[in-house]
Amino acid sequence: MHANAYAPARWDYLAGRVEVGRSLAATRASMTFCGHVHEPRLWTLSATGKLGEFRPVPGTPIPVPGHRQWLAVVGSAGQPRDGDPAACWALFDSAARTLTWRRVPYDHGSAARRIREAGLPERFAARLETGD
Amino acid sequence: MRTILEPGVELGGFVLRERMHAGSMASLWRVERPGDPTPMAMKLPRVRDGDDPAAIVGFEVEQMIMPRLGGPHVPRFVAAAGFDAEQPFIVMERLDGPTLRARLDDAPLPAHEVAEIGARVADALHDLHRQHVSHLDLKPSQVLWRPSGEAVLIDFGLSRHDRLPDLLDEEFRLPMGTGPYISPEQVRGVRDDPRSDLFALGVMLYHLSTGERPFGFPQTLRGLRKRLWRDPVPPRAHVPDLPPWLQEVILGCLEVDPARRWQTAAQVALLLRHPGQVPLGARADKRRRDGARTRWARWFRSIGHEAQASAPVARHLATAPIVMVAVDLSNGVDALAEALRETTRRVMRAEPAARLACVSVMKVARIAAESTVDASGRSLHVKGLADLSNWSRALGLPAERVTHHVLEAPDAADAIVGYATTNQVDHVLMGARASSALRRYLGSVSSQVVAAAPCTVTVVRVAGHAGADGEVATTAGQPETTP
Repeated sequence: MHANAYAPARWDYLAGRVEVGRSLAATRASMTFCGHVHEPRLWTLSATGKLGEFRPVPGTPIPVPGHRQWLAVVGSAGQPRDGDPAACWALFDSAARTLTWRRVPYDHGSAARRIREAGLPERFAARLETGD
Repeated sequence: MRTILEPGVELGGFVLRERMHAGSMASLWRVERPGDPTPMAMKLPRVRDGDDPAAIVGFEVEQMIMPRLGGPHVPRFVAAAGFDAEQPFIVMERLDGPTLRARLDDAPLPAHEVAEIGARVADALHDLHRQHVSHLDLKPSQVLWRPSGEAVLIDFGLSRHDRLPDLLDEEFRLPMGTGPYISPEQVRGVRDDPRSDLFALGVMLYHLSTGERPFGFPQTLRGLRKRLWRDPVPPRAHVPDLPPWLQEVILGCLEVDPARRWQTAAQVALLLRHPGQVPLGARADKRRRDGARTRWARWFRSIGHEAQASAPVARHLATAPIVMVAVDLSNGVDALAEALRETTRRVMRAEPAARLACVSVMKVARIAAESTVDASGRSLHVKGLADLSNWSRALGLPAERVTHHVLEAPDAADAIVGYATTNQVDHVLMGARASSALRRYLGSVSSQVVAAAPCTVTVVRVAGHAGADGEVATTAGQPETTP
């Protein structure tokens, strides 16, 4: 989940447009899922090789037809980086060919408190509370 | 192997009957599905090698958006096959023409007819915008009519859904649209502003009422860019007896800066249905185009003007709502009318782009026409309007944010709900009087409106007065609001 399709063993992040383009070019799969970049994103490569970036709206099923290539950064369940403390997950419906992001609020206050009680770095706790 | 398209061929359970239209992007066939009497049309993209990728991406966009649209103002979606199938297609409800394009041949049309057509198209646009979609290629040939009178918008190949990826934006850097109708911001590459559709609506209204195109039919990017600084010849220069209110509405759609246009299609529909309520500004009486100084200032601004991200369609609509306040002034400006005014003031202050429609209902008999002239000979209707604008004056709102309407109807609740529905009102504010035996028996007007209105209703009561059965009285400062 932390890797890419062009050099999986190197565990490089898909940090931006260039890496995403390389990863999509390295696979013939229509759908690629990855995590660890934390911010939910949907990338798509058109037949003419143009790369598009989209910030998904939770709860809206996005059609992801199989003739295009897609790369979904699913987001994070416990380390959000997009300002929303709710946990993030996505559902891929392979029959309807849709992808739906979801946000699930949880008691992040308690989780942050336990991080502090365990003596872990403050920024891990603060991130859960602010989503940044 | 490609399917040969000819009558009798079956595709995905549909049988091709006849080709209705062949365009550069797609062809349209009349199709049937065995055992299904629905009139249906199938759209098939041109996907031969060497074809314009815009045809393919536009078709993908339409396949994404159409299944999500509903209501009377779009063709009903039936089925689709994607590009991973042997032959991609979209099947939809078939609507028979002619399109609004046919009416251009009769232009210039009389003002009332332009207003009627414009209001219906604006209704359709507002319904589309409420569904998160900007059309972005609105033109007369994309407008059809249902037998019941509603406008139907077709062809969503250049449209934008604000919750789905924009496949066109990533694919093409040149402006997309149709020369005469494309908005200035689309020329600059902005594809997410619903007010672009209001610009196209303005071009249509201009053409229908003058017989001329406001920006001609430019074929080059340079020609398209001209509309960033050159304003059109005012419609009244073409048709001297065109009413000022219509010119005001049209030029208000054609402003270069979207922030200076009417803000929603519902506002345009409201104005076109109530010409007497159009606030007449400098635009209304303009006889010639802007002078060189204004033009040069706009030209300088247009150079290097970068596209700015604008709010998503739905958020934009939410910031420019139509608020309706139903006021009962039969007892003069009493405590309830004052409390209602205070709540109205707060709502309007919180929403700087909101428009306020002040409405009162004049009861008339269900059958016989009652005299609407009082003892002193003044029309009660005119007096109602005067009372209403007297009540709203204390709100201190500029004239262009307020309209006044006296509805003559036998049933107040019906009249209020009917007005809110027809004019796409977003929020109704109204007062509720204290409980009485008669009111308990008949049911209050406000409770009927709350039950039947198609939008949010806020009911205001005077603090300290008991409510009717089952209702909790609230202070005017804390109105109860139903979603």
